[in-house]
This record gives sequence, C-alpha cells and structure tokens, in this order.
Amino acid sequence: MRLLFLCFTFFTVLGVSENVYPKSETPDLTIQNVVTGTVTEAPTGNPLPGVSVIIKGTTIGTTTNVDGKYSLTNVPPDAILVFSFVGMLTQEVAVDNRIIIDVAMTVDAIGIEELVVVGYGTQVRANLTGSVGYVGGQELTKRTTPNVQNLLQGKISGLQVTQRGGTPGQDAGIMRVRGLGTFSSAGSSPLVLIDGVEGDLSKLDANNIESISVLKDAASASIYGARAANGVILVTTKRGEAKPLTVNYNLTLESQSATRLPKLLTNSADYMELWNEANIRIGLTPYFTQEEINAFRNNPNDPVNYPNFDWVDYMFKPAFMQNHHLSISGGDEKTIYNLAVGALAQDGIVPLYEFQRYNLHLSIDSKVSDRLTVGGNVRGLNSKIVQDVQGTHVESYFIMHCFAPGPNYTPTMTLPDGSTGYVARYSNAIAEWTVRNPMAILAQGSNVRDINEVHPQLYAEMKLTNDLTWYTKGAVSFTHLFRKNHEHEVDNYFFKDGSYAHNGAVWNLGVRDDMNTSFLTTLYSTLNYSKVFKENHNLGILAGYNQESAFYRSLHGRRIYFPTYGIKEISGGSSLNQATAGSVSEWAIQSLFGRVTYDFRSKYLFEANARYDGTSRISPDTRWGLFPSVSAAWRVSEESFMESLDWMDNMKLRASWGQLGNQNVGTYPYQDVLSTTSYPFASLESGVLLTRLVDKSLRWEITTVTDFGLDVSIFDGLFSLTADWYNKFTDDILYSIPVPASIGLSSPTVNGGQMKNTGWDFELGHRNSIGGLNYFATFNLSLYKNEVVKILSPSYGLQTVQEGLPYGSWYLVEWIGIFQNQAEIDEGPLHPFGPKPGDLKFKDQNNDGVINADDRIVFDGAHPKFFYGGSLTLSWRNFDLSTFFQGVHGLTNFTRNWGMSPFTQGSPPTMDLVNNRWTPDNPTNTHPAIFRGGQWSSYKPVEGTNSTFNLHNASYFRLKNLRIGYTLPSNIVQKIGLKNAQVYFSGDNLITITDYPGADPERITSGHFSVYPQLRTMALGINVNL
Amino acid sequence: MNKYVINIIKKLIIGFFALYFVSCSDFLDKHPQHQIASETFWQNQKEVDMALAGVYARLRGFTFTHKDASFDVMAGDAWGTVMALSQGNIEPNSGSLVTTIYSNCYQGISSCNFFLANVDNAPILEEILTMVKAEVHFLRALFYFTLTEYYGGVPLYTKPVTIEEALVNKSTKEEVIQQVISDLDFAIANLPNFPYTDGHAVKGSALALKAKVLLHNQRWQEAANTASEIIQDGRFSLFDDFRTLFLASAQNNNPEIIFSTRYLLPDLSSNLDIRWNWHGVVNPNQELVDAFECTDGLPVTSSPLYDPSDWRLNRDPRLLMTIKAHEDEVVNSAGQTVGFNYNNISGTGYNPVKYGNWDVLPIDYSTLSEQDWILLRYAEVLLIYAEAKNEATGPDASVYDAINQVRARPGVDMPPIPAGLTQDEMRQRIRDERRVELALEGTRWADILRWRTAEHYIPTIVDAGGVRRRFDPSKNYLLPFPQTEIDINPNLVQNPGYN
Repeated sequence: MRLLFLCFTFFTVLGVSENVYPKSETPDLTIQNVVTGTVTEAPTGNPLPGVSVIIKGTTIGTTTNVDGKYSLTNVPPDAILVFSFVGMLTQEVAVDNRIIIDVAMTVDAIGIEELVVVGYGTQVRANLTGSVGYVGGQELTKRTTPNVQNLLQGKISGLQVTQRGGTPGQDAGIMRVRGLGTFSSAGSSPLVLIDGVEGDLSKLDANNIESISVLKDAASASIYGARAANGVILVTTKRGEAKPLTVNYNLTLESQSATRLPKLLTNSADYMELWNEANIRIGLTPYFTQEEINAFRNNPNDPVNYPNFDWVDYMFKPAFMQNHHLSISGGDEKTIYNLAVGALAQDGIVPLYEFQRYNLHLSIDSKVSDRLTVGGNVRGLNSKIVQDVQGTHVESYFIMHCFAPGPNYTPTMTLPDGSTGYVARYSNAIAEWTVRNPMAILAQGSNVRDINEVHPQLYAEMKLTNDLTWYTKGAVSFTHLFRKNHEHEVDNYFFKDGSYAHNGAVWNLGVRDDMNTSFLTTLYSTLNYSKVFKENHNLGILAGYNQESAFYRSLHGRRIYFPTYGIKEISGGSSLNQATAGSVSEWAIQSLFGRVTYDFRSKYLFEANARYDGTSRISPDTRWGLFPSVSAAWRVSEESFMESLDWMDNMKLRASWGQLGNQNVGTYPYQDVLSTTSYPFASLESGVLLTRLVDKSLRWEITTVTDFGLDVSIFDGLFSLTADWYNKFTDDILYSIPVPASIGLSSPTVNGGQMKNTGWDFELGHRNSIGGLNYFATFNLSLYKNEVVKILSPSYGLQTVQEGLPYGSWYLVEWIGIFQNQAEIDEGPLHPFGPKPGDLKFKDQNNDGVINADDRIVFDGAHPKFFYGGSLTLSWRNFDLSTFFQGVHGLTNFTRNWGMSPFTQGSPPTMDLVNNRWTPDNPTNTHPAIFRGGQWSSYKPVEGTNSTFNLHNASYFRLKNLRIGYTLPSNIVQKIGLKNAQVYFSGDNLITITDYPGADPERITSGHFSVYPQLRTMALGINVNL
Repeated sequence: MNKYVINIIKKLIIGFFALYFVSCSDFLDKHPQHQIASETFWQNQKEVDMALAGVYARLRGFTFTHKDASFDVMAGDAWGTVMALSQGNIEPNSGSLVTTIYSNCYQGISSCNFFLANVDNAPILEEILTMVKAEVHFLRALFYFTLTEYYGGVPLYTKPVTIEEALVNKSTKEEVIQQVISDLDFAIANLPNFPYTDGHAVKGSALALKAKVLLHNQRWQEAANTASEIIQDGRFSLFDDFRTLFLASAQNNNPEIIFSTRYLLPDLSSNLDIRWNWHGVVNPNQELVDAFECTDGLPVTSSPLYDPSDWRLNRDPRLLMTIKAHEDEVVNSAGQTVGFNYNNISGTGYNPVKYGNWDVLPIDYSTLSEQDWILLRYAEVLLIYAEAKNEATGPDASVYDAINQVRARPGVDMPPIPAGLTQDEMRQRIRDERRVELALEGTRWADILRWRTAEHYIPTIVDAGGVRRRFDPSKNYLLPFPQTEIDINPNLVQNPGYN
C-alpha cells in the first residue's frame, strides 16, 4: 500500500513538473543567444561525446553528440556554462558574449584537492597525515544490495566486511578495521557515526549517503578517544545544493536467487539404501525394508506415493526486490534543502521471508546571516522483517530444515481420511527425530519484527570572527523494535501410512511479544580556529566538548493458550502460565577533545589530537582517560628539487602514533550488585544472591597504533598508490581471571590480555582515456597478521588461544586419508572408536602409536591471509560499464551437520559423497565410506574426532557486481520533460570461484553448514532527473 | 543580524558550556536499576527474606534437580547423558559431573556463608534471626555433605573468602562431616518442628539429613537413633500413591516429602518432561528392570510368576510406576491413551515413568514442568533406619517393620520379606529395596560408592554398542577435583590416582 502511494506521489510529481517545467524555464532575459562548440579530450584532442553542458544555476542543458559537438539556445551572454563528464574535471566557462565555446576536458586527477570528512571537520586529502579510507556515495549505489554495510565490502583497504548470509533484512556483515582488535566481549566492531551521531549502517538507504570515511589509524581516530579502538566510520548524508529544484527518481527491480546451493541426493531408493548402510556401520538396525526400497526403485514415475523429492529445489525460488528512491533538493544562496524517501521491498528466496524498509531523509540548512548558519536533519525508518518461528536464531535454522528432509516424502500428503496433512518423516520405523518439514514450520506461525526509528538533529554554526567558528550539534536517536512471535501446533504425519507423528515441537507456543527501545542523546560543541600566518604557515586549532547518554528498555510478555490460532494479540490469550520480563540499562560518556594542525606551505604537515573521556561504565576513581595521537607528513613532491619531475603529481610520506580506547567493557562492570532470583515457598518469593566477584579498578582496553604511509600519484593520476604499514597493539584486554570454583562466585573481569595486529593496506589506482573511452581501475589489498601476545591461561578447544598464535587458530587432528583395509588399521597407530576400512585415517603427530588429543596441531585459516577488492569503470559515449570484484584468500571454515554430514536428523548425503565415497571397489583417499553425522548416534570414526576432514577452504574470488548503464541522449529525454535519464543493469555475485564445497563460501567462520545463502541478483533500473 | 542578537547568542554559548560542567558530576553516575547494590542491603525483614530465598534458589543447580538422574547413569541403572563418565572415563579434565557437582555445591556454600556473615546486621527479631540462620545451616550441611559423598575431603570455608583465602588444601572428610553435623545440630535445635509444607526446611528435614549423613559415614547407632526420632515423632508418613508422589498435583503438603527442590509455574519451571520424556536422555537399563521382584516377592530369576515373553507381567507394581518400554503408550489423568514422540531412540529400550507427567504429552519446547525434585522422603528414612539398625545391632523386628512398611504401601502391596534372615542377608535385602524404591532418584550412585560394591557391579554392565563399563577401585570411589581447580589452587592435593 505504501509502495503504491509512493508511486502515486512520483507520478504526480512527474505530471506536475511537466506543467511547471516550461514556465520555470522561460528565460526572463530578453536576448536569445545560441552557443555552439566542440568538446575534446586533452591532450589527445579527440572529440568527447556525452558531455553534459548546463547553464549554471538553471536546468537548461544538453549533451555533446558523437562528434563532441553541442548547441544551446537562449544562453544569456553573462551565463556560465558547466561542462561535466564522468572521470573528467568539471569545468565552468563564462560565455562572456561568445557564441562558440570549445572546451578541452582533462582527466580528473585522483582528487588530491578534494575534501575528506574527518573527525569533527574536513581536511583536504593532500593534507591528511593519518590513514583515512574514503568512498563516495555514487560508488556505493552501483550495487543494488540493500545493506550499506555490505556495500562497503571490498571498497576500502583495511576494512573487512564479512556478510553472514542473505537473510532479507538481516544480512548485515561483520566489520573489522585492520584485523581483530580484541578477543574480549568489548568487541571488535568499529564505531559508526552518521552525521556525527552513533548509528547503524544497516538502517541507512545508500542513496542518501554523500560519502563514507574510515578512520583507520590512531592519528585520525583518537579524536574519538575511548570508543575508537576498532576504527571509526564516518557517514555523511546528502544535503541540498544552492540550485533550482531537482527531482531525482531511481527505481530498481531485481530478481534474486541463491548463489550456490548444495547438491544433495534426491533418489529415494539410493537414500534409503545408504541410510541403512550407515546404520549397519554404526550397529543400529536398518530403518527401511528391502520391499520399501524396491517399491521406490520400481516406481520412479509415481511422485505421489514414491517420490524422489528435491527439497532444495522446492524450497528455494527466485525472489523479487524493488527499490524506489525519490529525492527533491535544491535551494538558494540562503537556504538549501533535501528531501528523500525510499521504499524497498524484498522477498525471501524461501517462502514467508520478507523485508520491507521505508526511509525518510530531510535536511535543511539556512544561512540566517553572514555569520550564522542553522540547520538540521531528520532520518526516519520503518522496517519490517518477516521470518518463520525459529527465525530468532543467528544460524538460520530454517535453512537447515530446507536442506535436510529426506527425498522419500513430500511436504504434504493425503491422509487416510482424505484430508491433507503435513509429513513428519517417512515412517515411524525411523526411530529418531528427523529434521522438521519446512513447510510445516511455516504453517506453525511467524516471527515479525517491526522497527521504527527517528533520528533528528539540529546544529548551529557561527563565525565568531573570521578565523574562529563555533559549531554545536544536538541530536537524539530513538529506536523502537517490536517483535511478535506467533506460534501454534501443527500436526505432522508419517508418509508411509498417514499415521500421526507429532504436533510440530513448537518452541514458543502462543504469542510472545518483545519490545525494545533505545534512546541516545548526543550533544557536542566545537570551536575551530584557522589562520594563515605570513602566507606560509597554516595553523588550525580545534577544541570541543561532547556528551552522550544512552538508555535502553525492554519489555517481554508471553501468553500460551489462545482460543483459536487466528488470535495474534497477547490480550486474546488466557492468563494461565503467562510470563513477563523486562530490563533497563544506561550508560553515559563525557569528553573534551582537541586538535592542532600545522603545515608549512602544505609541504611539512603536523597534527596532534587528544581526547579526554569519562565513562559511566568505569569506577569514578578511574573513569577518566586521555587518548593522544601525533602525526606528521612530508609532501616530497612539493620540494623544489622535485620540480623538474613534472610527471610527479604528489608524493607524500606519513607517520603517526596514538592511543585509542574501547569502552564497551559492560554497562556496570565495576559495581557490586546482587542478582535477583526467586524461589517458590508457599508462593513465589523474590530473592537476591551474590554471584560474582568484581574488580573495581577495571578500566578500558587500550589500543596503540603506529602507522607509516606513502601516497604517490603520477602523470595526472594515470597511476596512483597509497600504502600503509601498521602495528596495532591492544593492551588491557578484558579477561575473566580464573578463580577457584570453591569460591562459589563467578570470576571477576580484569584487564589482562594483549593482542597485536600488524599488516599492510594497499590501494592502487589507474585512470586513462583512449579515444572516446575513459576508464579507471582500482585495486585494494589488505593483509594482516594477528597474534595473541598475552593471556592468563591458554585454551585448547576446536580453536585454540595461545600466546604467539593468531587468536582462535584451528586446533585439530590432521586427516590424512582413508583406511583401505583392516591390515592398514591394525598396523597403523591406534585410532579411537574402532575404525573400519573406509573410515578416516589420522596422523600420529607425536608418534606415540595412539591418535588422541595430543595429536592436535595448529592449522591456519582462522584469519584470512589477505583480502582484496577492485573495480574497473569504463565510459564510452552514452554507455558506462563498471565491474567490481572482491575476494578473500587463505580462510578456512570448520562446518558440519545438516546439508553436509549425511543423515544428521535424516539429511540426505551430498552427491559429492554419494558419487565419490569409499567402497571396496572405489578405494579413494578423499571421501570416507557412507556414515551417519550429527549430534546423536553420529559415526564416531568419522565425526568423533575434530579433524581437518571438516575444515574447508573458504577462499573465494567473486565478481561482486557488474553494471552497465546507458544515458539517454539529452535531446530525447528533454522532449519528455526530463533533464536526463539513465537506464542500467546491475548484477551481484555473478561469478564465484572457490573450492568451498556445496554452499556459499562467504559466511561467518564456523558452525552449522546451513546458512541463508548469499544472493545472486539481476537488477534493471532507471534513474531520472527532472 | 544586529549586535543584539549576536550578544544573545554569545551568552547562550557561555550558558551551554556552563551547563555542561555543572552537570558533569552526576552525568556519569549510572547504576543498575533492576539489581540491588550489596552495600545497602540487609535493612529489614523483607530483605532478609529475599536473601534467604536467594540461598534456596541455589538448589536449582544441576546436582539438586532432576538432572541428578544422571547420577543413576553413573550408578549403572541407566544409559544416558553422562556416558563417557559412566563408562569409566573419569579424569580431572572430564568436565561434566566432575565439575558440576563441585561448582553447584560451592555456589550454594558461598551463598550460605554470605548470608550468615551479613544477616546479623539486619534489625529483625531474634527468634526469626535464629530460625533463618538454622535454615541456612541446614542448606550448608546439604551442600558440604554432597561434596563429601563424591569428592571425600574438600576445602572447608565457613565464612566468605577472598580469592587468596580460598586457596587452601582440602580438609579431611571427617573434618567436613564434623562441620556438617554441627550445622545440622544447630538446625535441629532451632528449626520449628512442623510438617514440611512450604519449602522451608523444618526440624524433620534436618533430622532426616543428619540420619543420612551418619548412615553414609557408617555411624550406625547414631543414624538409627536419629532416624528413629523422626519415625517416633509421627509427623511424616508414607503417601498412599507411589505414582503421584512424584507429580506436582500431589506434592504440596505431601506427608512423605521431607525436603525438596521446588518449582512453581509459570516462572520457575524445569525441563524435566522435555528431557525425560521427549529428548529421552535417561534410559533405565535391563539390570534395573530385573531388580524389581515379582509380586510373590521372589526375584525374576526364581519366581514362577515371571513371564520372559512379557517383562511387565506379575511384577512389583513400582516397576511400571518407574519404567516403561520405549514404545509403550501411557494413560493420562483424563483417561486418554497417549503416545510419545521421543527425540532419540532409547539406548536400552526403556524410558522412565517416575516423575513423568503424562498430561503434558505430546511434549514440545513450550512444555514446562513443575514437579518438585524430592531430596529427602519418609520411605528413605525408614530404609535408613533399617540399614543402620541392621548394621548396628542386627535384624531385629524394628528392621523388618521398617522395610515391610515401605513394601506395604497401598498400591505397592508387596509381601513382607521372609523372616529369619541373617544380618548379611538382611543387608542385601535392604540394599535391593533401596534400589527399587529410590530408583532414578539420584541416590544409588552414592550408595554403591559407600557400600564399595561399584567395583563388582559396574564392570558387569555392557552398554548399547557393546561397550563394557570400567571402574577402577584404586581411584574411582572418589571423583577427581576438576583440573582447573588444581591449576588455580596450588595448595589443593588431587584425590589419589588422578595425578
């Protein structure tokens, strides 16, 4: 409905504009003048087609034709023409009574003069002394995926984004700036500030983003002090411009499907035979009689009674997504405004799943006087995520249910009484719980999240003197999440005879409502002084104050018994056994900060930052901390001895050092509190008890970053390079010190651990133009080495934590092949669980003749060796094409269970195992004989030992995006009243090269095999300006 | 803009900054609003009650709930959750029961010590103060006694300790038991002599526990005397329905229950039915089934009533109120026959009946259970008396009377044991009776440890998959201290055989 309304609004605007357009464009100047000319490319002199030529301050314009020629009428003699073209420097040329104006356009150099947003200000890129990654909004919107976080993937060196999966509305990735900052619960996620206020990237519409800066080193981030240890991401949203009303409408319509799905056995007779075989191997009775198997074997064309059902194919279907974005912006010398609304609707590639998002963005800035500017913006969000009743789990349980039902039954069946019922499993001879029928789960109810957010902010900026500016911003962020889980029993039957099996094993019978609200207030104020002394000495001083406080409240209610399944509101249920819960928490931070910058002729640059933070999370005695940084840069290219090298655009050496904090140490970690509990005497009585020890001197984690960097650009941006080496050392990592269990209290959290990340970030650029073809290419590469420096006691699980090793290194027994015969088993080292021929053979690392925990060794791959991204953008005449690729190398995942381990709750085996499994006739060393996986009655010779058998190479190279756009010739679009129009195709995840078995390699590191797949999308879009 | 406006704005700026710093002091003071600061507690009776409830809440740890049916897996009566351990893989780093019993008990002890160290500050009536302290002494005795059952001597603390103070060696088992008896004597002297009705420990609870402690420490005559005191008092008696004794519907004010870990829906529920009757994590084995006599009082090996084709026929009625075949359906309280949908195949072909609530079938993740987990009941007191008295002075009439009372419960109606037994024969009878009467209640593991019969019995069991259980008498009569405990506390000497 809301989408309809939006479309309506759009077409209304269109209609109105057609009426208004001629009127507003009627020149009030009397002299009609025609200006013509040719636009060429410097220095080749080739004509440039498709260049936009606009009379400044109006919407009158045209584009050059194939020969680079243009013609404009009604040009006032004092007008200024604006020539712009992708990848070229925009030029403004005064008409100055001329009638022929030829222009030679030059390739836009790397933009060393462009302004980059930094903490509490902007900085000319050439003058940066710290390490700051930068990406413009237009770069983000080339892809059509809804989540801004994922759009950042591969764009900036040092920023690693790992997308969990493609769940609509919950596809936010994990972001890491320069490796894993800490191993404590304080977390390694960077601080995200949206227009200066802490926020969530996933909640933004990419179309509203002007730019994103990533502050990677301490020099750039220390102005954010105690929250900057994991880097800072600064998002600046779009504002209006002082030009006449511009209306932009962008529409994408796309088809989404899974990138990769496992290929599982769908032949029922084979499935039943293999399950029998797996049962016999473990000493259980077979589940299927030979008659049953024969019946399936002999009736291949009876899908009702003897199906060979392909669940994966049935459950996963291409889905549709539409994304509308309408913006209206403009303004005059005094006031500028920007209003944007976005509407997105994404269907899941599995049934029921759905995501809707409406974004509103409004900004107004007004120059009240020469000295005072006031303004503000409001961001609003309404979104809805629909999932099945188990949708609350991070690793999608629903996908596991889609991967794992057996092929020998169908989702529904005709019961003996003629009605239709859901199938539980094949028959009750299968005396164990099998994975549930996904269609029956969908029938059980739904889990719906409604999210409403509003983020208003106001600011005032005042020039107190010509050199001194005061800026103050106040903002609140209100978020409201309401989640309703509605679940009821659904009867399931055995396929073979239609007898009753179970009622669906509901998790949360009835209605469960959860409400979470958060309220964040932010207030900051800065004084900014900048002055040039004696022409050569540039001095800038910034001083500021910041305070933030956050309040969270949650309320949960549940009723179990409802008169009918149709009632989804809690008040409709019985109060019997109803339950409620709730909680509140708060934190606050208060800060003073400052920055001094000095440079001499932009040649020698120095900068110092400091922030003094106080946080409510730490005891009053120790809650204030100072986070300083210093940095310097030398622009070698500005030296006189470099002048002869005129091909050298820029060459800069940078160095920085600083300290950052991580204040996410818990909300009340230092306070001695009694936990609440209860005990039922005659009636329920509330109780309190002491459960933990606390360390009152707890303080934040401190990260010290040293960075050396080099920026080079040559031949007007033909090639450019940015390289950084860093050492990021985190000290005082929160750690639960081991206490004797006999003390009866949980251990206190203290500052104890140390970890180090050292690495390199590289960004390469190449920009050129050949004939009418302009192109530029970028490539970024990031590598880091993680090392645990100090921990109080090592741990040796599936992943080990030891000093000197990367955090969470795999710690496994090495799988070296398959036992071919009994003699080999008898002669080799003693394996646990009594293996048979066809089972896994492990390496006896310590040669003690026994395979046990002492044979575990460390394997690489918990952290990637390197990750990279790159793009190639071409434009030729009215066409532009961009490709974007991204990849990760040297990462491994440990996964098993549903979809991977055969017969885990009935999961069909993969075709890879079926076709290549060990048999006496197929003496392979790569695949074991058929076995049973899973938690219960798993076949221990294969699954009882955590070995490299389950460690999979998750490296991949991916053509993440391909986009082809065509800008309609302006003479055509102008006839229909548009300024310009572009149609485009954009495809995501089109090609993937990987060794990862079956499903998508891009996912969280380990755990279940089954996760919601990444999406391959094919979008068609149109973008019009009027 | 005129100067007047600029002036106003300048004043506003100054005002802003002034405001920031004035508010500085309390802006950062945030305290948890749903928790209670420990310094300001102990102000009144209400707060003492809350602290007392907090100590009782420690009973909900694994060891004092239905999960201690895994003790019956250890005892060789069942197959289930703690398989590795029960098959003899008991090592300091085995985890599972090796660590949970230890930490559950010490969490309870820590709460008791915290209570006893602070409650004297509360301005409440002296009599009430003494009574609540008696309850907490009882609980502390329960926690320490449980530790001695499985670990022998353990570190002994009777007041809150710092991390440094906690690093002591174990006291001997005798020293710990002495503390337990002393705590129980304080409890017996100061607890009201009421029936057990509302979950608060009463004098009978402390007496019953003391009798059990004395029995388990071979102080036969004292044990018999203490048990006799409860029997003579007459406040507790056998309940006449063995099946519903273990169901919530009959547990309130039940005359047989002397102490229990309590549950109350909806807020305090357990997952007993989910674990026992859906996930099927406790599977009684054939050995336990065979331990139940036939209705003629003869064992299955010699009774003419035993029907090998149907084990259910002519058996001690307690058998079918304790155990069912995996595939058997049951009848709920509404008289309907209902089936199970077990999540796992039974490893033995059997599943439990005792404590199972058939009214919640079929079970799903929404199923909540509120059966109180019985820790002490009158039948056990009778059997404590019988065993203690037989050991102390031989099988006199009072011994026969105690054991036959248990067998004669309405609905059980088993014939009396034959007269003229020797002391040794009577000992075996009592042990057999304990096994079937208290089956799946978590008591037998401690019994076979204290009787020193584990080494003979455990290795006779062959689990599903053909694995024979192991028991090393040189060390397995005690659990090891958890390895982490040895690592952290350099003064703690590991139990023999586990280094």
